[in-house]
Amino acid sequence: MKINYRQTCILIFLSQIALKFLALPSLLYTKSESNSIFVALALMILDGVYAFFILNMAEISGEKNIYEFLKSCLGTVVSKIFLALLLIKFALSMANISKGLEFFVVDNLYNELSWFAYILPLAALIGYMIYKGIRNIARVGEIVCWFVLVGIIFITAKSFANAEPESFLPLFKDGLKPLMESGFKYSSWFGSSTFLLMLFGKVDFKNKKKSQLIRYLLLAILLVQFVYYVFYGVFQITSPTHNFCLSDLSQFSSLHTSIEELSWLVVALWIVAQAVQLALYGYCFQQALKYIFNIKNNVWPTLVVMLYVFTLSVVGDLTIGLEQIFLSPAVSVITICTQYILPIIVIVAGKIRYKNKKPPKQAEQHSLVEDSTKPAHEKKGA
Amino acid sequence: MKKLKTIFSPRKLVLWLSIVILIFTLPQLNAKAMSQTEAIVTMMFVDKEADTIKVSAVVLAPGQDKTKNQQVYNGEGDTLSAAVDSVSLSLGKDMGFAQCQIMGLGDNICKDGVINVLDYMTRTKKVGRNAGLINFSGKIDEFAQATADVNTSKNLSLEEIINFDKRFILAKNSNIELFYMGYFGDTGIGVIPKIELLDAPYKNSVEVGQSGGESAGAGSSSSGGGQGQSKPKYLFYDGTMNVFKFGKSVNTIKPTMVDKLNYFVEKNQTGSVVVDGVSDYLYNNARVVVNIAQKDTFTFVSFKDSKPRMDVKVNLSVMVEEVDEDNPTKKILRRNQEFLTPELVKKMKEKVEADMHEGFSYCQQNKIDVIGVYKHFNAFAYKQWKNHIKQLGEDNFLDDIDLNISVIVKSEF
Repeated sequence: MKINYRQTCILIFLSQIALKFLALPSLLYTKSESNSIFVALALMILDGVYAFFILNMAEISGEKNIYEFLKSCLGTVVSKIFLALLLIKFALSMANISKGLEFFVVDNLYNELSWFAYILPLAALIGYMIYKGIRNIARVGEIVCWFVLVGIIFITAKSFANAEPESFLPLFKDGLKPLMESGFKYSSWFGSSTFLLMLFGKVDFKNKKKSQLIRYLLLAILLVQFVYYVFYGVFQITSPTHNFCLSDLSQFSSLHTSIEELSWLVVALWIVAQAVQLALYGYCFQQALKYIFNIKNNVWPTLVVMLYVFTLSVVGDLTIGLEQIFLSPAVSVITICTQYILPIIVIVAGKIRYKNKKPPKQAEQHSLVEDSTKPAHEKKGA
Repeated sequence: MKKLKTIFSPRKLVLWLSIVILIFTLPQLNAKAMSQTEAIVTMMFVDKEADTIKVSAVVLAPGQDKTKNQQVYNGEGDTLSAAVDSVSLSLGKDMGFAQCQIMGLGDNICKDGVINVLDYMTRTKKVGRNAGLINFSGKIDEFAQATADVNTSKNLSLEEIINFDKRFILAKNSNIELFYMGYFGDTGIGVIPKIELLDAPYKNSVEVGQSGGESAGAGSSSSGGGQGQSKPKYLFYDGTMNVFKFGKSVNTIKPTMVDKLNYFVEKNQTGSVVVDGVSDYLYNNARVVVNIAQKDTFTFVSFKDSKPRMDVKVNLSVMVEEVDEDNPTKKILRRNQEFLTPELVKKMKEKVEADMHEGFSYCQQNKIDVIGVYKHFNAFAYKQWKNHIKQLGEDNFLDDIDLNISVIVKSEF
């Protein structure tokens, strides 16, 4: 089952904002202070550029899934190594989202909530969504997307007047080095376009509108910039101590108002979007497993994903343990390789292999789908 | 595989899930209600006497009698955690601080340093950082009792009393978060309102203590406050501010000075200006009270010949509120009269400028940058400012600043 282009754009939008509103702004601040807003901007634009090229390659690949595509370009062994690396990336992304969610729900949203009561339904939900496939995830994403967008704007706008623009000055007072370091250290929180690799052959480009992707990317970038501006403008030097960006903003502005309950409703809705994101990466994880081990059905890989989600929660006090893992340079190197270098390899290999092939035009797409499976030189010969 | 698929078919999965949820939720039916295990603290007060930390907690006690729904529990110990634990012991419950809206700090603890107290309360006890922060004078248990009494019998709250004035005070909406921002900022300055508990009525003080709730001594406390209070006390707040530098109280600013300093702060409003000796075609040696309806402050900083210069422009929209003169002329009886005469404007500008210079000198003398001078220079002239600080030292950066003030007064109408 395929998803349409609009649904793909919505998944990109959700993916772009998913990890940005928990601990990331406070973590970034520790390295690059309020200039972190530019780190987020630069890396999100980079993710947007990657999204554009990966989708372009997905369109060229036609009906081939990522494994078939890689196999045709790089051979079986390299493809499997490639997918194994992607598997690590998705596992890390899942751990990151899961850690953030658990930390927020168990420690912040509820008082003394058993992690068991949290993880069981979550693992079941994720398992079910993954089992049902990408279309299911995309549809849920479609439903929550606008609520989340309006909700986040609502929460943030309440504190907008309290933000002090002066706190962002002077710009780049220590040069660009802290920004680069910040981008490197917290790269695990970015790279939100990598999941598109697993959507090769699963996107229907029939009703593709070129501006759609740009619109959603711009929306995500503007939303994150807006939230970060308010967050850094309000909390300033205390930003590193606010590990829950949205809820802390909501709490800060709600002392003398009667709308705080509504804010928490919005925060709860945002958690649903996080769950969708977890399911999306779970789906990518499951697909990678299937391709690597040549598994035909969905049951076993889904169970593995559920077990992984469950294990993430069980492994000790993961909020401390995983935090350290994510901040280690080794993980930064791995994530940079998987989210920035691997897609380049895919794009370059695809361009070489299908060098004369252009994305089929909408009207001709159906007829060209079959052609696209053949390499360029074969067609020339024919 | 087929068998596994049957076991984990979507319908069966729902069944499995329901069973698991039931297993984990059924025991909760036997669990105690949270109100039986946790006390809701709405206000928390901390002070120090000799080496003993004293705490008083105002605890919500839901019941029929609304005049007694806030109870005060006192405790003490060698450390803050020991003092808080002693209150918990007397309550027989854990203390829940999530709803704590006021953190009060006594004079002694303010002098000793409050940052450890705030750290313990926010990090360990999870008091929200948006909780109001105040400095109080007087005995801690009596003050806590008085605030509980204000809440119950007067239908007022400490929060409302201090925030009613928030447009007119320097500390704006003072809370723990803003205090932290000051503490961790470059100058380490934090400002919080100071409230006193008096034995006799004074100015706008609020009488408390005659029909108040109950106070219970706890832990090793020797003066618990007793059951009710027969002698009335008076809560007094006039806008006085306590200034902290790196977490320790260093100065108290009186309301008259607060008004003068408020001209410098962009977001803060200021009340009214009294101009004496106005004589012109409308006034006859009059004392005129001018209300400031709106104030906009614009600060520009620069360096001229390596000397820092600060230009402050203050735009005031005003209306004449009160005129006090011996023989009022008939002119003031005219309808649509423009009471803001050029002479009044001139005198008012002079007064505001003089007040601002006085306020700035006060900051220089006391070495307290409560008006954000450091912030402006740091933002707009970073490199020169750093050099300037290197030369003068961290504490003396206000000394050599050339201050230029221009005031524009216009009528609100």
